[in-house]
Amino acid sequence: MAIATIYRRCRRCVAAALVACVLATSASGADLAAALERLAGAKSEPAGQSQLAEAWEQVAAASVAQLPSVLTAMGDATPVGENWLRTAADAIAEREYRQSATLPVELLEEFVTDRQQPPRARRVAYEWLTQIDETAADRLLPAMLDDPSLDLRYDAVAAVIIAAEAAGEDAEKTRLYQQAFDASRNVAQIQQLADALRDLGATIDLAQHMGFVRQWQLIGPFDNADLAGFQTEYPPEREIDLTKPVEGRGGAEVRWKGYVSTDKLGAVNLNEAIGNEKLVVAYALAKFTSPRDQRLEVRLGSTNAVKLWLNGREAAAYEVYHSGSEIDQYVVALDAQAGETNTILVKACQNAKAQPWEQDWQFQLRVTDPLGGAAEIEVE
Amino acid sequence: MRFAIVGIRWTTALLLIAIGTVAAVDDSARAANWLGFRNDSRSVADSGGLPSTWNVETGENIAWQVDLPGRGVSSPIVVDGRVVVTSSSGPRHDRLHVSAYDASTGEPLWHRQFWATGRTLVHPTSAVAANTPVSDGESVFAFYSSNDLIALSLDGDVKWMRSLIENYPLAGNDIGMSSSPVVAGDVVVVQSEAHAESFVAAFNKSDGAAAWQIDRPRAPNWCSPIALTAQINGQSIPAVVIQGADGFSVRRADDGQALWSQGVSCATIASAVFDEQLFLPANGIQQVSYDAADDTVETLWQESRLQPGSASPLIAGGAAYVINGGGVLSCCPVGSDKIAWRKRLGGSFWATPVIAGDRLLAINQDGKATLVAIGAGDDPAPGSVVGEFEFGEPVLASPAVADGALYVRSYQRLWKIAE
Repeated sequence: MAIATIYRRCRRCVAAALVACVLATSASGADLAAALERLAGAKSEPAGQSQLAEAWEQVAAASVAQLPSVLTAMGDATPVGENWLRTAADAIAEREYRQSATLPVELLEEFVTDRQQPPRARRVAYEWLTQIDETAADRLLPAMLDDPSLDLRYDAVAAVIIAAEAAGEDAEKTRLYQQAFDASRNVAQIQQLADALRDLGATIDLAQHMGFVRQWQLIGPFDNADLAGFQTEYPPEREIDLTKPVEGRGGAEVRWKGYVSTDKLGAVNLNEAIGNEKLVVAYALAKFTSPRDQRLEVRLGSTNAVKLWLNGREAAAYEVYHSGSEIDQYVVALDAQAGETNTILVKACQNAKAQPWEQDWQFQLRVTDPLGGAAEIEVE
Repeated sequence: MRFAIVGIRWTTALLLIAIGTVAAVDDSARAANWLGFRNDSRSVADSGGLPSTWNVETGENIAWQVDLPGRGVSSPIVVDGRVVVTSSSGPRHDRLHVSAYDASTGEPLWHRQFWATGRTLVHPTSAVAANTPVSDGESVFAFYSSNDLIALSLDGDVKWMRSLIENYPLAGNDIGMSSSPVVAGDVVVVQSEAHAESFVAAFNKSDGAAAWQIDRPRAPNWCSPIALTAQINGQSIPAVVIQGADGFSVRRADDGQALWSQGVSCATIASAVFDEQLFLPANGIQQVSYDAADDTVETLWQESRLQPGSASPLIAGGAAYVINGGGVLSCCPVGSDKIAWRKRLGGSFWATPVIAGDRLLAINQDGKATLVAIGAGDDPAPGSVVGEFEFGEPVLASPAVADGALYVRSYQRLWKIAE
C-alpha cells in the first residue's frame, strides 16, 4: 500500500474519530443524532413539519466540526430528508464562514475524496471547499473522472474538455476528448464530445456508446380514435407471439416485423416503420440478457404517449402528446438476473397531428447502469 | 350548488377589496416591498418613480450587481430590506437555490440550496427556477418547475418543504412550468397545470399542511393565480383567482370553494390583474364583474385589440397597457373603444413591464429596456420613448420596484438600479 494511501486513510480515521468524539462527548450529541435521524427520515407529508423545523434549527446550530456528520446523514435520507439536511449544512457552513472567513479545509477535503460517503453530500462539501480554496478543483478533479457522484464527474469531464480545447496537437486533443467521452455520463457532454471527436476524424457509434437499443420487433397500427387507444388493451399486451398475426386498426391483419434503427441516437421512427398515420398505436418489443445479476435502468424518451412493460409488468405510463422529448425522459429501474431473458415492450400512441409540431411518432430507449453508462447486456 | 352573495353587487364588493398579500403591511413598508410576481398582480409601484437613466457597462446608477448561484427566469422580490431570488443549476438543472441579498448593499445574506424531487426538463430559454417566489412579509415561499415548494424565514431558516411530486407523480411537463405562487389569507396557493396532471393546491403558511386542492384540466397552462380579499356581507374573505383556457374562478382561500366562475377562455401565459376590479386576458382584455343577487357575470368592458403576448397586461391610472406578441405596446383607457396610442418596442417580451409614477419600463428578451412616458401631459407626450438601455444579456424575468429602486434579473445576474 502506498505511503500516500496510508496517510490519507489515517487522516480519514482521525477525522472520523474526531467527529465521533465530538458527537459522543458533547452534551448535545444525542440530541443532534436524534435531530439528524428525524431530518433524514423526513417525508413531504404535512404531519411533523413543525418538528422537522425544530430539528432543522438544532442541526443548523451545530458547530462546523459536526458538518461531516450532517453530510453523512444524507446517505440514508429520503429525497426530502436530503434537502432538510443539505439546507442545514449550508446554514452551518455559512455561519462559520461569516464568523471566521474560512472553513476546515482538511475536513472538507477528506469528505470530498471519500467515495464511501453519499455522492450528493460529497458534492456539497466540494462546493464549500472550492469556495474557500481556489486550488481545490485543479487538485481534485483529475481523480474524479470515474466518480460515482455524477455532478463531480461532470466537472471533472468539463475540465478535461477545457484541456483538450487548449491542446495544440490533434493527437493530444483526440486523446483528451476520448478520455472525456469515455468518462462522461451526461448526455449533452457526450454529444458535444462525439462531435469534437468526429471533427478530428474519429468514428463514433453514439448509439452503442450510450446503450440505445436498436433492434426491435414492431407491430401496428392499432386504433387510437378519440385517443382511447392508450387505455385499450390490444393483443400485444395480453400475449406476445411473434409468429401470430393479430387484428389491427379497421380489422386489418398486422404482424410483428423486425426493425433496426439506423439513427445515431437509436430513434425508432414509427412513421417510417409502421406508416405516417393519425390516431394510431404501435408496439415495440426487444429482448436482452445480462451476463450477471445487476441493477439496470431503462431510459425512455418520446414525444408521444407511451407505456412501458418490463418483463411483462407495467413499469411506466405517460399519456402526454407532443409536449417535448428528451433522452432519458422517463427512467425505470430493473434488477436483471444473470442469464435470464428480459423483455421490453413499448406502446407508442400518436394523436390526430393537428399541429405542425405533432408529426413525429417515435421513441428512443437505452439500457444503462445506474450512473447512465451503457449496460453490459446482450440484445437479442 | 349555486353561490350567492345576497344583496351585494360584486362590483360593489370588489371596490372594497384589498390585495391580500399586502393587507397587513403599512404604506411605507409597502413602498419598500415587492412581494411576488408583479407584486400584487398590478406590477405598479404606488409611490416613487423609476430611475431615469443607467448604464450597466459604465456603472451609472448601478447601485450594485451580483452574480447569482444559478440560472433563472423568476423575478426578484423585495421584503424587509432583503432581495430574494431563486435559481437552478447543475447539469440536470436539479440544484435549486434561494438566495437573499441586502437591498442596500447587495451583500449576500444567506443562500439555501437543495435538490429537485420532480421533473427538471426545461426549454433552453427557461429554467427550473421560473416561478417567482412570494412573501407575506414574514416568510418566503419558493416554488419551482419541479413542483418543489419550500418555506423559509426571512433569515433563511427552513420552516417546511413539500415535494408535490409525491402527491401528483405525473405533475410537470418537458418544457418547464412557471406559475408563481400567491399568499391569500393563511395559505400559499400553487397552480401546476400540464398534459399529464393538473392541480391547484393550497398549503397552510405556518406548517405546510394541505388546506385544499382541486383537480384542473389536463392541459398546459403557465398562468399565475392572483390574490384578493373580498368584503362580502361585512366579512373579509381572502380569495384567489384561478385562470385557464377553460375559464376562471374566484375561490375562497380557506377552503377552495368557488365563489364565482365563468367559462370564458383565458390566456394560458399572460395572467389576470386585479386593480379594484378584475381584468382578464381573455379575447383581448375583459373587465368583468359579478352580480351575486342574480348570480350573473357582466362584462363591463372588452377590447379585443389588446391581445397580450407572453407578458401580462397592466392596469394603472384608469388605462390598460398591453404588449402583444409582436412587441407593440398599446394603451387604452379602461372603458374606451379607442386605443390612445401604440408604440412598437421591438423584440419579444416575456417580462411583464413595471409602472412607477408616469413611466412604464418594458424589457425585451434580448435585454433591451425601453422607458416610456405614460403621464397625462404633453411633454413628453404619452407613448414617447424617454430612454433605451441595454443589459447586454437576455432578460426574461419581470423586474421589481421598491423604494424608487429597480431590480432586474437576467439569467444569472441581478442588478439594483437607483439614482
